[in-house]
Amino acid sequence: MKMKPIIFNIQRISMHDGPGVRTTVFFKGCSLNCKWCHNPESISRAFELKVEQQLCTGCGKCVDTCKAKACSLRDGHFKLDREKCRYDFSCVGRCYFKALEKVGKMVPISEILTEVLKDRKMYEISGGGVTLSGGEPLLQPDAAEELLRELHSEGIHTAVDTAGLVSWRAFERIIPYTDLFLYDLKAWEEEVHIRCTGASNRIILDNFDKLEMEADIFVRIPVVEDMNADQLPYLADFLKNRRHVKKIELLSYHRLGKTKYENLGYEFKDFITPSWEKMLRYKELFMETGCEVTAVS
Amino acid sequence: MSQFTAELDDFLKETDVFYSTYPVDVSSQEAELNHMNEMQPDASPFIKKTWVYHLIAEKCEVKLFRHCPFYFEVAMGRPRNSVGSAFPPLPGLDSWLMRSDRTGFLQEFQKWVNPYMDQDIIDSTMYVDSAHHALGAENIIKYGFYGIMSKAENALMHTDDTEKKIFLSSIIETQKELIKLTERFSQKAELMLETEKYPVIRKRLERIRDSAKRCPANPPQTFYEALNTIWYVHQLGNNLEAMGFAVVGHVDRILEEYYDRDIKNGIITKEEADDLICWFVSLTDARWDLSNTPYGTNTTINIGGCDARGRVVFNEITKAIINCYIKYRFVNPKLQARFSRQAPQEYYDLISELAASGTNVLSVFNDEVIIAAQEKMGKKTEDCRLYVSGGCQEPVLANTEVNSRAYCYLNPSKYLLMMIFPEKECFFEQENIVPVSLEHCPDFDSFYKRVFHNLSLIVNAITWHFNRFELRWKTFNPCPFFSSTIDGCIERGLDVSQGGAVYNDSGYALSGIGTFIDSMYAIKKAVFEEKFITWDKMKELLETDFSCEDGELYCNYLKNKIDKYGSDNQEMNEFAAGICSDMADVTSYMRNTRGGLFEASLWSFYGYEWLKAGTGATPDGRKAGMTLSRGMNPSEFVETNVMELIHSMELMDLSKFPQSAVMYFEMPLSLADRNSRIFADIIKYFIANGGNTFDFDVVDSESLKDAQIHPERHQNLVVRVCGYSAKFVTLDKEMQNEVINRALRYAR
Repeated sequence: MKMKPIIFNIQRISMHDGPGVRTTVFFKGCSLNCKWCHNPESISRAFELKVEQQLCTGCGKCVDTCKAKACSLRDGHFKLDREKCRYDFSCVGRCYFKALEKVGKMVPISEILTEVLKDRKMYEISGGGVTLSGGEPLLQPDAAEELLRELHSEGIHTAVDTAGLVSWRAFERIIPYTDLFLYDLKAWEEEVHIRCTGASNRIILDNFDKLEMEADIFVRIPVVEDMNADQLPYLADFLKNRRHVKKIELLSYHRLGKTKYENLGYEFKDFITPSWEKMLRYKELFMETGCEVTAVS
Repeated sequence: MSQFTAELDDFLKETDVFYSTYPVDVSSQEAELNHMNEMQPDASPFIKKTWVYHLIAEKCEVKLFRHCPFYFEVAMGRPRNSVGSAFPPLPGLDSWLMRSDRTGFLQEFQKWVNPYMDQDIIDSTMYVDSAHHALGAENIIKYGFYGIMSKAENALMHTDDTEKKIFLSSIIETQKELIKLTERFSQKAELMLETEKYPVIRKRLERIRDSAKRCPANPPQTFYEALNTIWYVHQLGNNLEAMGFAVVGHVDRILEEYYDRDIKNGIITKEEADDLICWFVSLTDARWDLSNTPYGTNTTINIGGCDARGRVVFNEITKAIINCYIKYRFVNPKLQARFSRQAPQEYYDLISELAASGTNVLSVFNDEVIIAAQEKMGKKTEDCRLYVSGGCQEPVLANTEVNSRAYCYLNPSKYLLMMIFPEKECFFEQENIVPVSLEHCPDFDSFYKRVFHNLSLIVNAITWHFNRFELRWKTFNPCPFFSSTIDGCIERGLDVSQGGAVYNDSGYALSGIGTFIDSMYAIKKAVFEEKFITWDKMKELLETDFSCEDGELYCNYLKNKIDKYGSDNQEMNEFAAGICSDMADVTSYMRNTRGGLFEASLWSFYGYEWLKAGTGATPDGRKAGMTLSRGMNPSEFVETNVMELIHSMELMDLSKFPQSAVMYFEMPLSLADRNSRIFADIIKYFIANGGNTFDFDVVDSESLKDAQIHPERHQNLVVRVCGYSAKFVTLDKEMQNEVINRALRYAR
């Protein structure tokens, strides 16, 4: 177990990443750049510095330790010059107030396993397991494969949450050790997909078609009223008569990621959340696929 | 619509009208008692206690409610809201004997305890537990008052011991008075029948008239009579003994055979039985003024678990009880659900449904650990299997055990500070004990040993005093009625206060274990291993409440950079398990005066709040006066979730805590939206990790916040406070805020 994937979180008692009670391992780095992403720390593979201004007391320890002179105090408040920052994170160690946090770490598979196996008894009780999510876990296929293989050999139910924009080879490597795929679809029309995520969906849809022949899938569709709501009829059509699609989840856009954007120094763009009535109407569209459909507000 | 549903509003109105007259005037009866006392000042306290029973049985009003099928109430002057007559004595004839004490005992106890209360060294308002007992209702169901009387008469014939003879005579007198009292309910029903027109109520009164004539003077014959007996006996305890009887009993186990027989013989229908159970459960809410219950109603019902032979208890009564909480959203009694791996899935599902309904009346007990804990104290397995629980969650063995608990709260974090600054507190000097100095410890191991040595000195000193006071129980407030229901007392000729019961244990409630664990770990890491803080600097930080130079920095270092109990880190888990084990050893096995032993608990009701003010800054980065950790939970500022909490105690041997080790789980209501089975899964996971006891508090932080602004919209929002349930809108603002903060902490 030599691999050390870059992850940014291991979340226990995860209730919406597959069946039962699960632990989700979040891989850092994504091949899409969805404008509404509620996990902005998942997009870049690089380590990042998260700043929680309200926790800063202006003690100045970070300024003393920062060789790149990126940390400074202005009117007693912390100021980070991200241009100058060399991301050695020496400031994080000196901040005793939890105002600075390094986002992302390379964690040996063995350590990840120790952590996720803590809840093994709960997986057995609840029919849960471990989900690899992100970011895009398949951008780190060696680590993902190794982790999934180890989990499988421990008898743990495994799920992989993917956006699909990776080589088919990556899927082939993990299919033997993956019990369930959570496959995110955002748009059917290519230009809309590019507008929403910065990338074409051709590979995504191709991979979906191939994967659907071989593995069980829960399809997950984020619904952003002013970005992809018009795509839902096409996607419903696309998902008709699929043998291995076990469930379709429509996830309503929410603004919970707003603070994260600010803390990471990114600009936050707001979008329109669909009303619950609309979500129920969208759900109707997908009922025709014959799959189980859920709408989550 | 069921009869209960049809009459519920009228019933609540009727009880409210009656109980709002409480406490009724009993001065004439009290004058009689005083007169008797003047005539026979040297009579034994046992005899004097039977005078009280006599006055209550003959001269206090017996009350029947038209809209209630049961008979149980006699107005003897106690307040509407009281957890029995806790110490010091409350109004009411039951407390007369305590009030007539002229030895200065009360003052003596206060003189010793008050200075330590002021410094938050302990919290104790009772010299012995006066509020959390369990009467042996099953003995009355089995023998009736007549049967108990003949047992006592038989024992009386076989003893020459004068004191035992007096005690046994008092038991006999007690039964005679109870038989008289019970007959008065029959007469009362007869009287009411003279004017009652409504057929349903007439039928009800006729049943009371017929049943009260013979039951429980004789053993109950029907499900109705057995159910009434359980409540009647519970109320008798609270009305007669100047003691609080928190435990109603293991209702579904006790009543199963009566239920099955009556259904089989067509004596009762399922619907009628369900209705009776609803009435039974509603009695506590009906009696209490729920707008003012700062410490809960001290009433608990047990369900599930197993019987003496270890067979699973889950039946129609269990289901009816759970369903009536779901349907009517009763706030009380607290429902204490016993579980084991053998419990059927249907039981898990029903309890899960109740938890998901957000009614928050539930405590969950892991039979496997709690029964093993009792067995380790040398109790018979058959007796251990019959544990019930109450007050908050403290277990006690039904019919065989008199356990003094929840009467003194210890504060180990404070003791650590007393050891660090021995010159600052008067305790050591006052108690004539010399603690081992914590200065110049070569390593943490040595530091740790010294701390636990000193803890042992402190606990023993406190125990010495409580034993001194416990010795006075038998003269200050002996309990012949209570004793007559508990196995062992008649056989041994001894009152419960003298150790007459089969098992006679005591226990301290240990407050703030999370704060203590984190403090010890912070010293281990910061002072001894990382050497980031010198011992002298640590003392300066604590002494100045982190206001010395760089104090704030060090405070946050200790708080944020050192692992905390509850964050589920392996090293910390091992450390915490070690502390808990050693703490159990230090707080158990001392002898009390009743021939029993002290037993350990990790449980503290409200102790974490009561004891916080006088507890200075602690090495975990907690500032002086801030709250201590709750139950066996981590400190409030530790980020954690229910999985981490449960897994954090996997390495702990919680069978070292017979008096319970309680976790509180705040969980967002939204969890239930995502997975309706989640609460059942959590119970199973808790059991799989060797948990002892936990309380569910399933809340929606948004509703709580809204309830603060618009209380009128949330009259029925019930939350778990600390071992008891209360309507959120009746809590004071500070407590409301605490409950909201807890909810927010776990809403992720």
